[in-house]
Amino acid sequence: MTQSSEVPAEEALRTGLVDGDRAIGSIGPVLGHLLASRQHSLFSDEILSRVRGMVSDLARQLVIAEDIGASRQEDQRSREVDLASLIDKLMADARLVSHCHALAIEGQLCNRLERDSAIDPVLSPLIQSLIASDDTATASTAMAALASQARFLQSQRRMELPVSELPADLFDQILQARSDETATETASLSQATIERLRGAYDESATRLALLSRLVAGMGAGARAALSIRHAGLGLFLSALSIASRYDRNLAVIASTDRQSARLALSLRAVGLKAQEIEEQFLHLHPEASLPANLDSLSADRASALLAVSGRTTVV
Amino acid sequence: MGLPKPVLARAITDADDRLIEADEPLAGLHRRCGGELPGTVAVPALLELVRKSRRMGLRLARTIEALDGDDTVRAWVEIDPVREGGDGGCSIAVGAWSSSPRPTPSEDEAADLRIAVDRAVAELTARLAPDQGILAVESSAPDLQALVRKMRENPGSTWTQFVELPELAHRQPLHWRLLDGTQCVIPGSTRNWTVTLIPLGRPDPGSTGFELLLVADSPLPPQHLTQSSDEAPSTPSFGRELTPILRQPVARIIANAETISSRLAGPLAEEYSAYAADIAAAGQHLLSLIEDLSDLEVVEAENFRTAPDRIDLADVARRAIGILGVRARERGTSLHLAPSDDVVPAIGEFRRVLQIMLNLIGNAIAYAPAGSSIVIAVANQGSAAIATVADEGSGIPADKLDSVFDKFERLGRGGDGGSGLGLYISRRLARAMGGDLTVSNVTGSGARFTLELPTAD
Repeated sequence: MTQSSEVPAEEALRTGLVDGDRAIGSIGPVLGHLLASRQHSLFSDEILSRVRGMVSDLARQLVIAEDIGASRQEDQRSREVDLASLIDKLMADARLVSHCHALAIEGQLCNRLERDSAIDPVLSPLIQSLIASDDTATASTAMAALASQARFLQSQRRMELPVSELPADLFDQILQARSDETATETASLSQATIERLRGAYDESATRLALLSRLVAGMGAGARAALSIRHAGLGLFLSALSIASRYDRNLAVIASTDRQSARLALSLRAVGLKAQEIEEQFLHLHPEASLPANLDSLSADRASALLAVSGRTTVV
Repeated sequence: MGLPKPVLARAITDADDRLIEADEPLAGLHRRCGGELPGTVAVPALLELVRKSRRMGLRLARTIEALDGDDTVRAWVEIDPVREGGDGGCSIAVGAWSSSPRPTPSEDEAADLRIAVDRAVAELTARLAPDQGILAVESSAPDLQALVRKMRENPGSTWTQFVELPELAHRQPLHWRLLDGTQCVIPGSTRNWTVTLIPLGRPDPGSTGFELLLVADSPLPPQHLTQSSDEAPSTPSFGRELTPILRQPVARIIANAETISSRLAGPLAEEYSAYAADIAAAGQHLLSLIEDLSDLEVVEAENFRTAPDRIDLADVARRAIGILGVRARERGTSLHLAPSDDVVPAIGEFRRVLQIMLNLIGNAIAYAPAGSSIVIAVANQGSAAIATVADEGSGIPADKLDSVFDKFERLGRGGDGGSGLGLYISRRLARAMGGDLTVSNVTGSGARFTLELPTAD
């Protein structure tokens, strides 16, 4: 006999969540291992290449910033050696790598949704109505979010990630990593260069900040953003992470295979009806089937189940 | 008890995966994949294999596949990392090689591929609304920043109003299918751009907007990473920067003036038609001056080189006569090619030699008296191939024979729109090709210009 408060859907979902936790727990070490060994099988070649591409791009931007800062024209060879060692160093940074990993998955998913469900990766109906808003602040934020989303897709195609798009803590982290690295060597990331980079950084201009701001600005209406078709994937993921109070990267991972239990519980916990949840699943996991009677699982109960997982970040 | 394995080709790479030596057919494939010898292995599958072998220090043997133009090449390769005494590279043995035609991709595949390529190389990307108004625009190309700024200052306006579309008439708005693939001129950029419009939305393409991609015909020359301020701000270079910008509006002035002059757009009083013809003529002069000035810059550059092609000087002369025949008839002069050898082999760059011939014959037409004839002759003369252009004008004063090739030398003629650069440029070109351009007066008749080029035999 199951406990009286437990509805049939719970058993399946609880098992699914444990399963999902186990998979997430291995992301950090596996990713680090795969990137270091260059022999990969667990994650798709494409995603790994994209992560590597983004990390290399970040490293390249730092090296170039130093050259400009110091008006230095190093010889090609030593620059490449320098760059390679910085890339290795950044690759070993689990939080940075998992951030890039989430971005790569989001970018890939954007393309898949566009292809399979005709969901515009840039201009969703919700963004469109926000742009048309009477409130100029909202309208201009929506416009900036649209531009940043277009930029995001373009840089994903090119496996780039501008340092200015990093969340502040990661931005700080890679500057730190660079100055630690160069402190011992002849080339050093000068204080002036660091100051210049820090001065130019503005978290509010990043795509993730713009999306969060839009969600926050919608107040109770933010529930409208919990529809992929209506809001578009970028806004949907931000809304999900804000409503569920977990890291956006975790929201991205929650949209992947083997995390369907987390996604279903998260959506239920923030009050979506079974039919609405099913619609999101239709886009994300067309082949997956949800436990029946999901409506009988209360939002509170769903939150409680999620709390057992306790996970709010990927790494 | 290994049988001797047949080896078709061998190659060697170094520690940086650069191909140092390679036999055919591998060397050819490497070049056609964009590689240099020596240079990083350009065949992607082979590069992957060489890297792997070098890193693991293991002998590898695999079939690789590569695209070679319209063919697919499949080759059996064995990679052997050189461990002792080597520099850390690998040796490659190719055991079998087969090439088969690649199945032609379907139209959809080809279109997808084109979009993927354009997206990868586009230097400006923008998101457009269904009416082609600008929603968001992004570019990191330095020569497009002015355009991006203008577009951002005018959100919602149609993108076509910020660029010039020389291939299309001015009627707006244009259907996206007309704009897709067209050429585009961007104020502030000297490069030529191609437009790609990707319609978004289903089932009606374009119902939710468009993705706009601008692809340049050439990358910007690589700039130094350090944009140091000690570089003196150079004056804008005429040839590279101003010519394309000037050519466009001037060409438009000429085209419109000619339209008016020929009364294509409706009846017009005679004198206005004549004014328009004057405008067109003045525009033509302006255009040729622009061309001359940009040529001047090219031939005066230190690194100016011409291609040492094998050409037929007689053929070049016949073509030049063909091109200028109409102009000569309009002025009542006639062009004659003196009987000569059928073929006069020479070494030079075809278009440069043609340019010289056009300049010489054009001058003769302009300054010879009406009704006279101009004689062009070509001949083999020892180690040189010779072309001469002789007119029946008054000749060139003896004291000016030397200065006729000077820069901006007009020989006292004014008001004819000449730049005084033509002969200067022609002589520079002739000398750059290892020949010369000289002038002499022929007693009893006019001037004779002689172009001399090294013979091809």
